[in-house]
Amino acid sequence: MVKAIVLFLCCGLCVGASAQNVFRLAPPLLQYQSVFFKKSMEVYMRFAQPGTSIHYTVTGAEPTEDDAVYTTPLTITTGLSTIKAKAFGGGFLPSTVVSATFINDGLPVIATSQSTPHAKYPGNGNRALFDNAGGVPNTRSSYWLGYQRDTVSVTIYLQRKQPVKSVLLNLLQDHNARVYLPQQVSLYYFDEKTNKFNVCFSNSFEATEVLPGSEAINLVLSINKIIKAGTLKVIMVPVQSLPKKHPGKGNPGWLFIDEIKVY
Amino acid sequence: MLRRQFIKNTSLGAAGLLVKPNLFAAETIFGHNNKRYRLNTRWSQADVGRNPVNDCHEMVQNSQGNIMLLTNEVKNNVLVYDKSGKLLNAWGSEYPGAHGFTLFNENGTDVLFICDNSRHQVIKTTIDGRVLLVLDYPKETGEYTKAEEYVPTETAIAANGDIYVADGYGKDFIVQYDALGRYIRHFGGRGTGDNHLLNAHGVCIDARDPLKSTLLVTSRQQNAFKRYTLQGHYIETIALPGAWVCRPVIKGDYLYAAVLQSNSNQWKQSGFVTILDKNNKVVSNIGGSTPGYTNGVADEMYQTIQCFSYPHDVCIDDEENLYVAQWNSGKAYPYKLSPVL
Repeated sequence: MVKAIVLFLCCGLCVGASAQNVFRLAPPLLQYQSVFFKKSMEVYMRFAQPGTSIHYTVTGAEPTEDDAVYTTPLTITTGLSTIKAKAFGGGFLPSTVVSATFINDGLPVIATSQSTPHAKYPGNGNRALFDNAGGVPNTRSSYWLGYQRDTVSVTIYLQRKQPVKSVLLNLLQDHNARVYLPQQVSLYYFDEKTNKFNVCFSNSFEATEVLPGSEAINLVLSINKIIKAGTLKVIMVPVQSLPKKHPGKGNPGWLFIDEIKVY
Repeated sequence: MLRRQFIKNTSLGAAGLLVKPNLFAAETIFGHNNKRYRLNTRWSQADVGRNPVNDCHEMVQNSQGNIMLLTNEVKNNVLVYDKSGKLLNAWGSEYPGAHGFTLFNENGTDVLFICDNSRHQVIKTTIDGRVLLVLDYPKETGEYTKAEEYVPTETAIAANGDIYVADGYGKDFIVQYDALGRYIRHFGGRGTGDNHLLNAHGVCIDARDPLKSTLLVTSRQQNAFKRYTLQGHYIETIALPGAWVCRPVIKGDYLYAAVLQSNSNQWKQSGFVTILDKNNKVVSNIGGSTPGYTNGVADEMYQTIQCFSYPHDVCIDDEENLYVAQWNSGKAYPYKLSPVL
């Protein structure tokens, strides 16, 4: 790599060109109504820069120039499809990757009750967690419910008692803004016979890193046994103490959640 | 993969060079239509040890033809360059929140207006920094209870000397004073009407129609400029979808503006520079998408080449060169762009 750069610079000098910067392309635009969809979602890509093209994948792999060139809008019909796109050409370095993961609608939810979010991040009304809107990786987006407390509890009332396989949580990760994934997540279902909530998923995460950027992350809580449920409860513990590497170390972190899907 | 591709391209380039050197030496041309430029990122010859910058906020050209930069680096708030980038002078240490920088020719003498975000004041000075007038927060408007609510970002001076101050990081009012600093009126402010503003970051006098000067005001978070009469009556909105435009700068028939960032890629150094003709049509985006219109509405604009981080102002000199000052961009000195004829 170093050799290649040296060679490159020498060549520039040999022909007497003024010292030129080699610029990188900006990422192309992915445009869609929402990452949440019922039947399908149209995805448009834009990059109005002469001599360049957008290459994309739907497999999750990083696009190369050998991958498909975008020409017409894509129609997404499969849940958890990830589109990754990148701009190439025009004599510039290729762009960084832009990506979006699309989430299909889940089982009908009639109501939810959740811990009261922080006054600064109230989300978009009572149905914010099930409104199929948002998924924008930006703390300033109004779709997010923001929490900074001991535990966050969300009770989900399904239309009827039915088999449940998994629950998806659409969460924000923006470490510089102190927004971390929860340090612990548990999922419960209500058992009418015993009149109790039984745990059917539990996992802990350790916050040690301070990663750059802002990203919407889909956490899928897969249930390993066959259950039938009409009421579910998700308990999340926001990061209580930011990691040592973080400028705000020791202070509580934030939990941002936009949407929950039950499958 | 990327590495291999890069090396492959490089060796191809080198091989091609032997045959046709010009291919490899091809310079990047930025912009569109009749507003295309070559970029020089190493224009400034200032010594970083002696004359550092922090955020480079705004630039103007004075009557001597020199280029003046305002930065919030209190070692030297103002740097004075010649057009070749040689540093001629530096002054100012009392403007920690230096932001807005407007030059006005007052009866043949250059004077400057500095908006200071931290001091919550507008300061009028001579060309070499002697203070002539200080405007405190505008109590007279009845809109403010303390200085901290007022965070002026820009001024514009009308031909009769009236001073228009944009409170772009405060309450988004435009406050109009006479030449002596006496309050006349205020307008704009936040709200849902077309006449309201959101992040009134810049203001300028548009005298392209000599019989009908108007005021152009930035509404940055609405990605637009708004036009008012000099008495503050709303006329029209110039929508610039996707573009976080900073202050409008008029030179000749054209309006230039640094775009802090693309709406589609926020807080990721996605800025560019946009140029509009006298019909308010975007004709060129330097480092940005090819301008296009669909049914008379501007297409969403965005950065396409990462040649700028967060451009904050553009200054056009008497030879049509552009100078671009950048905010929060690694303490970079201004860049110069020369027109491609």
